[in-house]
Amino acid sequence: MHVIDWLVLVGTLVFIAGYGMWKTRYVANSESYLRGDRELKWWAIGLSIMATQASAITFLSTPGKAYEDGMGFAQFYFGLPIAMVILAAFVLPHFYRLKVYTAYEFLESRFDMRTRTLTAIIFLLQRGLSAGLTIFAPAIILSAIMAWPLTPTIFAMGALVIVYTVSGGTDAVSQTQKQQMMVILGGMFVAAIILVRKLPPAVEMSDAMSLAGQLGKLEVIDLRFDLENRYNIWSGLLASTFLFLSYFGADQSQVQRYLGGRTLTESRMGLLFNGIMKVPMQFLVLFVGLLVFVFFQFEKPPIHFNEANLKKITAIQKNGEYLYTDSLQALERRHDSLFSLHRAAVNSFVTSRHAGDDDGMRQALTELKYQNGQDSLLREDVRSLIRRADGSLNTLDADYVFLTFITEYLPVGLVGLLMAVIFSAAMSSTSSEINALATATVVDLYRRSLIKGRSDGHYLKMSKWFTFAWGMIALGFASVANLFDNLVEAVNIVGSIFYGTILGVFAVAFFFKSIGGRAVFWAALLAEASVITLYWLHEYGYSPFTYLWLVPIGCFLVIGFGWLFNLFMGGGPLLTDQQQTNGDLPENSNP
Amino acid sequence: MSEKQNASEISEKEAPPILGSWRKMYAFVLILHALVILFFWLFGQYWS
Repeated sequence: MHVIDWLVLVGTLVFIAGYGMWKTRYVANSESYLRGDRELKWWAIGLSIMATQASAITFLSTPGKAYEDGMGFAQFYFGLPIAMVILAAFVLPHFYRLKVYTAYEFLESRFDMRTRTLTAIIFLLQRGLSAGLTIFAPAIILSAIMAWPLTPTIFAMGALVIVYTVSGGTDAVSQTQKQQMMVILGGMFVAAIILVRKLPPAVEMSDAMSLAGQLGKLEVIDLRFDLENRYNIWSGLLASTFLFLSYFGADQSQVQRYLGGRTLTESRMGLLFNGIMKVPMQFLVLFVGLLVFVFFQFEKPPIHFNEANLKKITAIQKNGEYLYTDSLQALERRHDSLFSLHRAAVNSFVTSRHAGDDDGMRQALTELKYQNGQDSLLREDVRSLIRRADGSLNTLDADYVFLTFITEYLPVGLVGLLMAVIFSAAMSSTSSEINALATATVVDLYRRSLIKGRSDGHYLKMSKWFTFAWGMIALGFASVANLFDNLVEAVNIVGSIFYGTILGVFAVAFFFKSIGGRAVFWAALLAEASVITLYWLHEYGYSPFTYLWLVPIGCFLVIGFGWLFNLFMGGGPLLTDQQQTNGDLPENSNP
Repeated sequence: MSEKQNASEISEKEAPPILGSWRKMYAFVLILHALVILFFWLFGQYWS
């Protein structure tokens, strides 16, 4: 990277972190540290929620997804606005009435301490794993493309976050997320503009769109109902709604963001703002990936987007002879000749379109589809060669597409800005995660069950230590994590395995008033075991349910088992309606 | 009733800054979402 890019990158990140620490320098008690001063306006809450969800993986992996499969991934987010409305209408008032620090605290008022502790532990497990992935996933891509060593990259991404999150707690997270989100949105807009400007002069935007559309990349909506297909409108509207209900309603990293609102109205508006903005934002990110696809129709793309893989295999030698260089060079030559034919077909398509020659366009399109088929075969041959050379290398390169474009084709200064986008995204989600992990640890376990009745200073000090500890655990996990499949999916799969159960417990809490704590506790344990079994059955081909469906299944299992157990073993103690209406928490739940 | 509880109840009854009621606000978000999905569908149909 050029020195100007380094200045832009480091300057942006240090400014944001410094601003967050300066704004929160007077945090003096545990309530302020864990819950914030509850001064956030709706737009700040909305940005904070979006920044928490949008990790670096979103900005590396999602454009790669559009490059490979088109815009269909947008459907994954279709359940989000529905979930926002449900949460704003039914869940948020309960949290405000009880003045809770964490979502799990509410469960003690509804069921018992055991259920609160169980859900808090499930959250800590799930989010603890995800926090590591949030750092690891972008770090491995950056290290491969920029030739930076992996472990220092992981620590560079995590260290600054840990410093300002430990220093300022919840408010530091919210303050920095506003700036981070502005950098992210601004950077993605700039990337989209540059991509359009980089198209050849004779190619208009409508040519680019027509080309992408004819090649099947612009079909956002898939109306076919298919359990095996991860992304269609039905899985988006039904299964994703459950996933987002669980993520935004029962995951402390999100709950903590909107509980920082000045009033219930501000928090509700923050959620609805997210409901309105999130789908268009994902569309923008996917659209950038689509523009990268169009760009590489006119510009020769690399034969494999993870260049580090190619460097590794060309360096393999035996008895002084390089084993794979000749094979790779032969593939490169095939790539060159294929791309000349491809480019000719693309030019013919554009020329025919300008001339209004439909037959010419059809002919060019047929040729183009054939060339794309040949290109896919060539890329598979490259992957086979990499696997043959070193079976431990990951040959999926979609996650490397956007970063390759950034580093190879953006002008000096903008490379630094786009790097700042990726780092900002990583930092915004990581800070929320470790902040929430520390809050749940202190409020739901340490202060509630382990060390009761100490001074506020003690809990403030321990909150900072737990924030630091979770940051270090995330860094440790990131250092040893292994990559599997697509990175966005890896995080979503981990979430889907746990979210259904937590959502089910909350659904029982809100909508099945006769089911008590004992029944729901055992129902949650059994449902979680069933979901994990279902996940592995699908992995080995014995179940049709892809990971997105695990959330509604887990949720309904908790409700079903809870109802059954309630019949046979009794539900356990219930709070009276009056207690719930008054927002009375059991003694010692919120010292 | 404590001052805090009172404030909480007032906050719960507070109308949104636009459209007058929460019911209308939620309907607005959902209708807008339906229009976005419709736009995506038309967008895909038009270019393919």
